[in-house]
Amino acid sequence: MPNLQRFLSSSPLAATSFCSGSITSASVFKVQSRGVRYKNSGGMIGGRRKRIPLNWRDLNFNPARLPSAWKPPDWDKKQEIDYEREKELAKYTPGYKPAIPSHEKDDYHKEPVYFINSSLPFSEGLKQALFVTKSVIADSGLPKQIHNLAESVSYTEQDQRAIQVIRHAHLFDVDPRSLDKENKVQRWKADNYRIVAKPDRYCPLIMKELIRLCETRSFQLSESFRNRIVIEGPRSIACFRRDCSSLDTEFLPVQDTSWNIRFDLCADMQIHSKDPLSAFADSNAVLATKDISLAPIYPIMPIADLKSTHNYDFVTNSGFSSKFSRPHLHTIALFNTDQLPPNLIYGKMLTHLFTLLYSKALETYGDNPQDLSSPLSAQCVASDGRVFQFMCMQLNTTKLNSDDGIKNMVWVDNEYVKEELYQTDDGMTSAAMYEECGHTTWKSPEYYTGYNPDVFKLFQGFWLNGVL
Amino acid sequence: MLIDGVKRTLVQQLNICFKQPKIFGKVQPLSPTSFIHSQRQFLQKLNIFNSARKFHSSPFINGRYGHRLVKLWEQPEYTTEPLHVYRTGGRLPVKNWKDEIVPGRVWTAKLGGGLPRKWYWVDTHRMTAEEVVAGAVFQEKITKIMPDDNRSAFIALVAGPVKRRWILCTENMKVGDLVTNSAQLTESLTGWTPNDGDAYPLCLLAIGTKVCSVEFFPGKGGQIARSAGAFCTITKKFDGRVQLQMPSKREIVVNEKCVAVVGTVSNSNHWNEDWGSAFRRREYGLRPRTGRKHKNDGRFARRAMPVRAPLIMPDKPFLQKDNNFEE
Repeated sequence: MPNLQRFLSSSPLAATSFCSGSITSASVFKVQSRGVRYKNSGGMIGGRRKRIPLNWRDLNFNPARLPSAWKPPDWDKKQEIDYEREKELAKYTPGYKPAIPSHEKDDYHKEPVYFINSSLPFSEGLKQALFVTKSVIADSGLPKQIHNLAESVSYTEQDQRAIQVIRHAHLFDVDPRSLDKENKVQRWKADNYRIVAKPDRYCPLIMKELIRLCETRSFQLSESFRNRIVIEGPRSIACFRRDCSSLDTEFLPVQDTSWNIRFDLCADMQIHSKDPLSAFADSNAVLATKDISLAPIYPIMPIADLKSTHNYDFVTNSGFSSKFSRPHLHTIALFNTDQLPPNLIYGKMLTHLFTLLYSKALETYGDNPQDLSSPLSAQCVASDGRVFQFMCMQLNTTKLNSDDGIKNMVWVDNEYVKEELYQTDDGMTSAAMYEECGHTTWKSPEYYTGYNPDVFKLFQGFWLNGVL
Repeated sequence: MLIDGVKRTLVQQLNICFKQPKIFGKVQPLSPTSFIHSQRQFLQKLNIFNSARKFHSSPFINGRYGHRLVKLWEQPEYTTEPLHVYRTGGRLPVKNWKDEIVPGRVWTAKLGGGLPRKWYWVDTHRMTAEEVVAGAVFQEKITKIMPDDNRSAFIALVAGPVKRRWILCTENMKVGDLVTNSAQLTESLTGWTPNDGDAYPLCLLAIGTKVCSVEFFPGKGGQIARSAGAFCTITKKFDGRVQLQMPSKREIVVNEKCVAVVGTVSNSNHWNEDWGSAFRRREYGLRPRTGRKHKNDGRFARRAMPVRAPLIMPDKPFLQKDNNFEE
């Protein structure tokens, strides 16, 4: 038997012939022909098929070049609104609010309005805002009376207290979002391992704590702190028609240079007082603004990048009734939690100041555009927790029909703002209260570096303006 | 002499062959001298856009930044904000049983992974066809210049009269400069000579000027010479048409109302920069490769090729079965 076994293994063909049965013979045939068939026919037994079509390059299957292939097939269907079906649904379902096309709504106007929200600032920042609100930068730096006040009000321990506020916000403040163990708040994975404080947490905290320091100081100095009130998140609307007659329309795509503009804004914090702020500039200085021309914004138009709608309500509203006990605006505080560059933030501050002052002026002096007999003035502070911006404004006119005549006046803490106005977004600078603070600054024993005492001094002077 | 399996005359070898223009849009009668190897070559001769080697499975030929999926249909209008780039992993879109579109079978195995990147909506229409017809003139101010993850050239953010937008940055653009888009020559803006970065219709530009981001058809947006350091040169002008030399040295004849940007594209030293490491390629989403390229197939030298005839474009784009978005 071993001899026979050896014989069988050496010659399989003989073995197949020896073993009766067609299955074994077929399997041998398959083994021999599989490689050839695989090459030629690509897995198909009967027909001839090329594995790669001849014109496979023509098919253009590149997914990067064919984003439309990734588009959901029902995308366009979902975007469309069937208004007739909406009407039918409204008939038979009580409480259903049907979607109406915009031209059939009640607040539809033929002429569009260009609007600004707190989420949609001027894209060109301060330069564009100055032109739209018909205001000029009056002087380099803030008015002198604020600097003098800041000097007189300051005391020795204030820097130590301000630093303690900063260190509290950056080092010892516990973010409740880091404590949720059920993981209800969906966050990036990296945030779980982060110890550093986040700007949307520390920025309002620092501002409110600094304001508290100023209020304690005002309590020491006088008894007028009762005249004030702090309001968080009030809404105010200013609607006006702006006619920019001085625009050179030779290389601009429009001939008509008058637009309806609407500011609809919510300030983060706002301080109102019983007595109005004293004016920053004399009547002579106000008259002198006739000769100053508006800062040119060529090549952009004043409405560049603004959104427009036909559905709007063209009514100005300061958000306060006339019987309100503290009717006069003192200061606005803005939290720059998105860490916008200073140029955009200055533009945002100016729009906030203008809406509140303009709506107040319309309430007191009437809707007719005019030069105000006693100008309104207010202040604004903005911060991202580290960098502070200060602005003062004096509303001299509500005549926005032309670029000539008396203009509104603006003061900014940056002394070189007139030069930096025409640089890029990143070109403008403003003062920082400290360089760095946090657990990462372990090299300095106090965990902060580069404290600038002038910033809080100015902040305090701003806040105590009109108290003494 | 046998090159590429074709017998060529001495004149053809010396690159002095007669230029025989090809007209697209209708089927061109083939000359008896031309020799057709295969069906594919026939298709190539018929229509360049449907059969030429425009796309390849290899990202090294398509371009190193060629792997992207941006959901532009979700955008209601133009934005300057960066959009998210979804990685496909070299997979084709298929429907699943829910009729959602998901990545399906592998189309190319050479893509995958990589760092997250952002896509900036670069506007290739410096002027639309309507503005060219109306003779519009407007200027834009450059506010920012920065590199882009998805292309070799730099991009520039410009503030125009109506909106701000991203455009391709040319070599000599600087922040704070004004660039002009004009359909007529005006002395007051540029002093009769176009500056670098200005956009004009080709009829207003002189012969010999270097231009980039050139349109093939009026109003379609710039299509050729958009990568780093690329430019076209204007060689001829005749009855409403302009002949250009493309970066591939091939010549093309287009309508004179096609808009082009004066100057060369920025980052011209791009070809000279080094990848640094193999991991750098992975950061761009390219998987490792093996083997050697035999792309030119000249073995050890450049293959001598005859000069190809210029392409002649019609006034309107002919029918193409192509659903491409821009970019």
